[in-house]
Amino acid sequence: MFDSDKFLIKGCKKGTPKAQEALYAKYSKAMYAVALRYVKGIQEAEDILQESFIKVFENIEKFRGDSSLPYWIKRIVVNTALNHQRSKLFLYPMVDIVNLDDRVVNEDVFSEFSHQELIKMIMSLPDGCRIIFNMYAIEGYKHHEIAARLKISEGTSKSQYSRAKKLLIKMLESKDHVKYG
Amino acid sequence: MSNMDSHSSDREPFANHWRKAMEEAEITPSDSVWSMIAKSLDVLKYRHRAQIYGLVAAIAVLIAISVSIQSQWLGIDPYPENIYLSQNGDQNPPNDTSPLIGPRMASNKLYFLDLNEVYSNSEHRKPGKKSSSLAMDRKILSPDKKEYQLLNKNSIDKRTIAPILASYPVFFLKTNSITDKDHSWAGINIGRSSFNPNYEMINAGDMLSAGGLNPGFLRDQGGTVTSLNENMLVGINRKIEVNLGMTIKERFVLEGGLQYVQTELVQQSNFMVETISYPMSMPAQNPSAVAENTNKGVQKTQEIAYTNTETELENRIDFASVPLRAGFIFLDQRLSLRVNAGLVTNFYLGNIHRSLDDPTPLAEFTTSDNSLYRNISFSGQTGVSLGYRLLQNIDVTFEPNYTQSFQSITRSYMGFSSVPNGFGVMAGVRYNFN
Repeated sequence: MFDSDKFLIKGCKKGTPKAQEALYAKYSKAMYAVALRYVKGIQEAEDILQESFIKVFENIEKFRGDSSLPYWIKRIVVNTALNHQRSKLFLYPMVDIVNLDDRVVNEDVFSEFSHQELIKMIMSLPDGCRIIFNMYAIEGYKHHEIAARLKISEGTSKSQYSRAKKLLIKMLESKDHVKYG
Repeated sequence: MSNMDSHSSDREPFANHWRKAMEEAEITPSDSVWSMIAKSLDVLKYRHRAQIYGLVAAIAVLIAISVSIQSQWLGIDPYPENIYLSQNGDQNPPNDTSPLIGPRMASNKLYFLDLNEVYSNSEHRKPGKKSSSLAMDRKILSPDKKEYQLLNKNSIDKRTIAPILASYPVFFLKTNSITDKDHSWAGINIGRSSFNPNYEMINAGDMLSAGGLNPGFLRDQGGTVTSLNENMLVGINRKIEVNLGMTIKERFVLEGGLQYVQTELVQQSNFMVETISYPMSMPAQNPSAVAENTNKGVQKTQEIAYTNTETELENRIDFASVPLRAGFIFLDQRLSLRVNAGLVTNFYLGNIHRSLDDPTPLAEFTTSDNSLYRNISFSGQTGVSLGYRLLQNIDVTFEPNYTQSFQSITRSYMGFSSVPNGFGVMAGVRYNFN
């Protein structure tokens, strides 16, 4: 009954519990993967997921279909995750790191890892560079946008990304999948 | 956020690889996440409803107050030289308070009359539905905003000229009653209201011994239950009421009735269950020997486990209520307006605990059980009753109201109190006997 997003949205706008549950069932796995990338622990990711879906159901009336439903939900999850992590950025001020890593990793390497393993690698990054890595590498923000959003300098964003890259390469390296260019 | 997902080809390969690798990533969260979301949505639903009832009630009260103020202002007659027509088309002396059809004598100087009566007595006979018009300066202003010249008692000159005054009823005058004498009525109403429990914990210690707010859930726990925190959240009331009323003196009325009230709210409990187990098995040949062994060995062999659980339950409380209200009639025309205030006696009938996602009752309580709730409690209620005469003796009614409990609905020794209040609306029909 609620297979298509159109019907899901219609049902959720009416507040139908079955539609809400179906929407959650359809997108919770992908969104949980997003939430996990921003945090260090499973409990915190579940909190973000819970808070995000409540926001989704509360604000579904405002969804006008300008973007796809999963994209809209993902934006809510990312924003919620960033709000959760913002306090950590203040607790651990980020500083520029000069030593940039210019190694290149072959794309095929990634197919050797499961999603869980890759997400675990991201989760193990320090708070600051984990957030910036997610925003830059995966969500597609530019460094000046990250700087504006997190109220840090563009240089800090770049150097924190570099730090994340270095650490991630090290993790990939440990499984001998990295090729140097 | 505008550029989220807008990867460009100039982005470095490492970032692009990660992005592609994460595109289809899916990980299953634990079942508890949806369970918590469903509970939160239920709570939000209650809060949302409560806000709507409050808003509707507040708007209705504002409208009623506005109408009252406006009508009082209109009650001043700006045309002291007007002439008047009675029901029979005769000039009506100022002291005449005989019954009239439609809008009544508005002031000593201003009359309404039934246009049909004029038509029926005039050469301009015109069948039509009963309507009212205003006679003023020998002109009659009908509800269709056309003005007619009054020639004599029994005829009118039908000339259409610009309206000079809206045919708005003038209130607050002595003879504006639709029946112009004491009358009585019976009514039936249904409605809803918000239920703000105003929950307060007074003495947690007493509460623990009583099993907290959710004894229905705690009953099934194996071990000693310690309630750490309890809370009642905003809920809703559903009401159905039958009532009888009568005018007791001019504009004063008395109304009494019987209500069935169903209150639904969410209760949160955070409690700890202490479970003691004995890993070493006891021989069970002789009961007295077992008891002896237990007493000797319990301190060395017992294992204590603590489990912390947070739960939310739906609590449905049923009351039978007897409202007794006194009212003052501001307007008793086709549209009637009355302000009421009174006392409501609430008789607790029972309550049911249910899970938020499962309608099967977990526990049921009645007055015979050691219930959390007082068998009788009192509250005050005030409201504005708006009525509209739909048929000859039948009004439809709409009443926004506010209810405030005078005392806690829970028993005093329970360790917590709840003195609820809430805004509500009632709608129904009223049959007038005379």
